[in-house]
Amino acid sequence: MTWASLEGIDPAEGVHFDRVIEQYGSHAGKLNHLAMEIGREAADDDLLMFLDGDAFPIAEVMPFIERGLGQAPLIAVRRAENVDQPQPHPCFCVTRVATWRSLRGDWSPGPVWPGGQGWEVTDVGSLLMRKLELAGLGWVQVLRSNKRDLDPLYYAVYGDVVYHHGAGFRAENLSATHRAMAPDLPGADASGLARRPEGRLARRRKERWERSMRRRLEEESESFYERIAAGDSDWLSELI
Amino acid sequence: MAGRMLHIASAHSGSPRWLAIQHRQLAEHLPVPYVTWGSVAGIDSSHAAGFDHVIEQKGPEAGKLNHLAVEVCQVAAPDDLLMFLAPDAFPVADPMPVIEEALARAPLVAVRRSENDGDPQPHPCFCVTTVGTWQSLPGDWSDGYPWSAPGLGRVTDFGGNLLRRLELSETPWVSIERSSSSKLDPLHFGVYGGIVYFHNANEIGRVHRLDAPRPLPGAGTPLLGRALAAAEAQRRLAWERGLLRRSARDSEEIFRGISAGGTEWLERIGHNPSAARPAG
Repeated sequence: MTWASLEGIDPAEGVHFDRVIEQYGSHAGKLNHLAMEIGREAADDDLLMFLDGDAFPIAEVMPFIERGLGQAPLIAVRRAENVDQPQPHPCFCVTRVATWRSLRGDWSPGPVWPGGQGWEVTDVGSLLMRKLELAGLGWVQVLRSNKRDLDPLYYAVYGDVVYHHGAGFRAENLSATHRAMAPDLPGADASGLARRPEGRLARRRKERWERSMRRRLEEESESFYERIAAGDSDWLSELI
Repeated sequence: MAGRMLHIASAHSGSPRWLAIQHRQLAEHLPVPYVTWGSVAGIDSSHAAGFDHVIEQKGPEAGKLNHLAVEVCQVAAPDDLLMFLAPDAFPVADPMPVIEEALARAPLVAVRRSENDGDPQPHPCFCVTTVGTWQSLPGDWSDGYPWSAPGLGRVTDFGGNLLRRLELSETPWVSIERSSSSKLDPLHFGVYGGIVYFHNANEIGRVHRLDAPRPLPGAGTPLLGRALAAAEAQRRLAWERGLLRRSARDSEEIFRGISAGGTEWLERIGHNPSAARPAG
């Protein structure tokens, strides 16, 4: 049974889902809300799968899930390739309804870890990670399994069973992985130095680089999406 | 109340300006033992000393409050009280009689900002429940679940998912409504239930948007569309800046009064000390 929300999308697309829940707001809040509505109807033993809007299985996924849940009560993608993110990611996560209930699962950001750029960061899934830690529960990490990387973060295959486009809904923001690819421009991020001419110049160059990177990622994403939408599997053979 | 602890969770970020005031007001108006749980994202760590427990966290306020509650629940007893308080909110009178009377009627008491185009949900600027209730709901301050705002259609906000949790579990709650009468701003600088002040000078709320400039005639016309959309965006930006400029002026004046102590600032915002009671 599929549950979804279609914020900003033609309601006619609702025919693709068994239940469409009206909701707005943050990604984490919407997932929490969907899980709450599912919890009204589902039995404790039912499985609960979170799947990003731009993620889907590319192979028979149930043996993988059953194997994973035989090892731990929750399995989820961990985007280790995104500056070593440690937390479960909702692009693909499966657990039992009873586990989500007893864990009081929550996708909110909040708890922090050391990021790649010298300061602490948080992201969707960090509070779930904290709850798992406090409950003493392990989880199975589903890692990136691409044989070939068209991009260090996007167009990802995880565990050889799930594809996550990644660039689907957030072209306006660069990921930490993509920001880390920026040329070394001393002073570009320093607010004090930026007031001086050399700092302002570095900041402008960095902004120009970011605009160009966003444009390139959008173009590549659109082109790859069109190949996926065409329905053949050529696109997949480029990744695995 | 005898024997149970009051845990207060407040997620500060960006500026330390409300920390000392909040702690001064808590010390002045709380006659019961309490412990403070906070975070100071983007604030010099020396300011963390005011809290009993400091939790490292970042991100939107809803997630930070959920996280603070998780940490509180690790050590608190189910009967202990859990209070959420916005960083720029604090008691202006002893809130315990109101809290006790409300919790005798329902397991959760919270500000409800009806003045914000009819907001129906509990707001985390001030909310009190027991640790046991928060765990059994389970509580969640995130947005998601929508409602109909009379002036603006379907919306969601902080506390939307908590409202849904309360509905699904058929858990009643006591709302605390705005009790101050100042015309300075319909949403900012409010006292709720006669006991809690919420400064909140930076928010452009739904009640403000009801007075936003109406679309220019001709918007949506294919030929004029792009130029009109640009003009609309400029008008809207100018309106938002004007609103925030006016609010910032009042905010500074009120903040100076609060910092100085005394009650003159409370008179300015129309505080009615006899309004110290829950609404419904």
